[in-house]
Amino acid sequence: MAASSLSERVATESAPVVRYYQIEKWYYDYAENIEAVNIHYACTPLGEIPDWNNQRATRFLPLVESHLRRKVLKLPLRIPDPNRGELNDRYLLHHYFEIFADGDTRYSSLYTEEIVTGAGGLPMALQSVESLTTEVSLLNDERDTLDDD
Amino acid sequence: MKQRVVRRPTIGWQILGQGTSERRVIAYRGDLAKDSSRGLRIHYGFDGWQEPIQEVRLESIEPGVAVAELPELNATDRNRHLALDCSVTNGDDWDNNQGNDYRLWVGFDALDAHLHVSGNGAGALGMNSLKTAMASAGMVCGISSWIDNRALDRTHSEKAGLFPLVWIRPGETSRSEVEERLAAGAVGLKLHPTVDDYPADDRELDPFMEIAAEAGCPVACHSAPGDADPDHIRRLAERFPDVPIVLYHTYLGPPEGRRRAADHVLQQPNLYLETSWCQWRTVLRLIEEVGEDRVLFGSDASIDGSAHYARNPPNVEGRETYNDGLIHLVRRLGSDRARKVLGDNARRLFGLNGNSHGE
Repeated sequence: MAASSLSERVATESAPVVRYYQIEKWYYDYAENIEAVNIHYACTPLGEIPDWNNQRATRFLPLVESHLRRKVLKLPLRIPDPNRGELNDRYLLHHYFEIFADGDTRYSSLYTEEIVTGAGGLPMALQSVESLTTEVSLLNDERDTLDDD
Repeated sequence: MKQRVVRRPTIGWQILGQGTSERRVIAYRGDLAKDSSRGLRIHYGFDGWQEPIQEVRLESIEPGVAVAELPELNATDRNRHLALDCSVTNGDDWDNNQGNDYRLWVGFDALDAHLHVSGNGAGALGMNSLKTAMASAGMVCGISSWIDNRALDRTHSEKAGLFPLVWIRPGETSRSEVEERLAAGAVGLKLHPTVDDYPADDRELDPFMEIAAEAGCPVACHSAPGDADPDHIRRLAERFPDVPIVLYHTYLGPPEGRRRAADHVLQQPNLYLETSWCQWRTVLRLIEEVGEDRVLFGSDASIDGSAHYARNPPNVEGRETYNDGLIHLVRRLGSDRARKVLGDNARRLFGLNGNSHGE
């Protein structure tokens, strides 16, 4: 039921600047009465558990073929790790599925896995610089689009 | 497509006779009315079961229908009361709407502008739970959506007084599907940028917004931190000034976002607020701020099942129930403004049947 086969890649193919780490999540509808499936996820430093109330992201898993749902999650390249005082490219991804069936809501087990984005660590002080870099890259993307027009 | 509300509720207002002999009665069509040999009584109180609690006999007027005239609701003093809360008994059995009781608003038919139903299943989000919840709050009809449009195809929305929206998922939903669903009776579009992972001002929405503009139907958009932020929604509204856009929840987040949402509504004429999960004092403040023509009551029912409007512990920010809050809100608003917020605004925007003067 709560299948989550994994396919990982850094999103470098189409973007001039890497902004996300992408990971695919799959869900196989184990019954005919499933009306929708959401995935809830959160990222934490290694060894920590999520504060679901404040960190949760929720995404709908669309059916991509009969009984099979798929969603590409966009994860951060690095997350702040206060214990180590750095932005770490190794962290934990926690997720579970919310399954709607016959009007009822059921939940899968909680899954936790280690993510290594390969982006490398950064001192915490560079967090704002990294944000700025991302904004600049977004602006560049927009300019490129305008140029194309 | 313009719609008329067609419904046969378990319990509702009805006019008997004509002219000077006209009588306004409560009509009961529930299970207990099937046996006309048993004397039925309606057990009732007003405005949240305030004392005194009364009982009056229901008379059978045709198979399956029993009516009662309540002395408190005669022409001279009916305006004293806002809502009737009630249940029905035959002496042995009770029909108390599965423990949630029934509510009828006095003088208008209320509409919930934000409902969800996932199908015909027995769970919290199934049709039966929603109908029970709506009857407990006096909601005679509402605007509904579900995250997968196909699930709605299996439900009988019209019989339940539900007017569906078409859920838009850029990159997946086709233009032809939207056009077909609108032609088949859907009354607007639904956007949920958070769960579907796109910013609310995404250019990929433009083809769907063009359909909405052409069809003259509104767009309801989840409003919350991140991709569904009211700043994004405003930009979408600016690009399509002829399409009414309803900010669902106003803003599902801290008060700062609600203030921003209200500011946008003040400055952008095609934006509207919907109030699910806002406490009644917040709703009142929003109405005072943007005007009663720009606010729609909604509840997100029946996320919390058949007890959605009256759940214990309270589900509106953990402090109040919708049913309790609405009594306070309607009292403070007065009947004219309450009619707008609890029905007329949505009926106008979504092209339903005129106004909330239910009789």
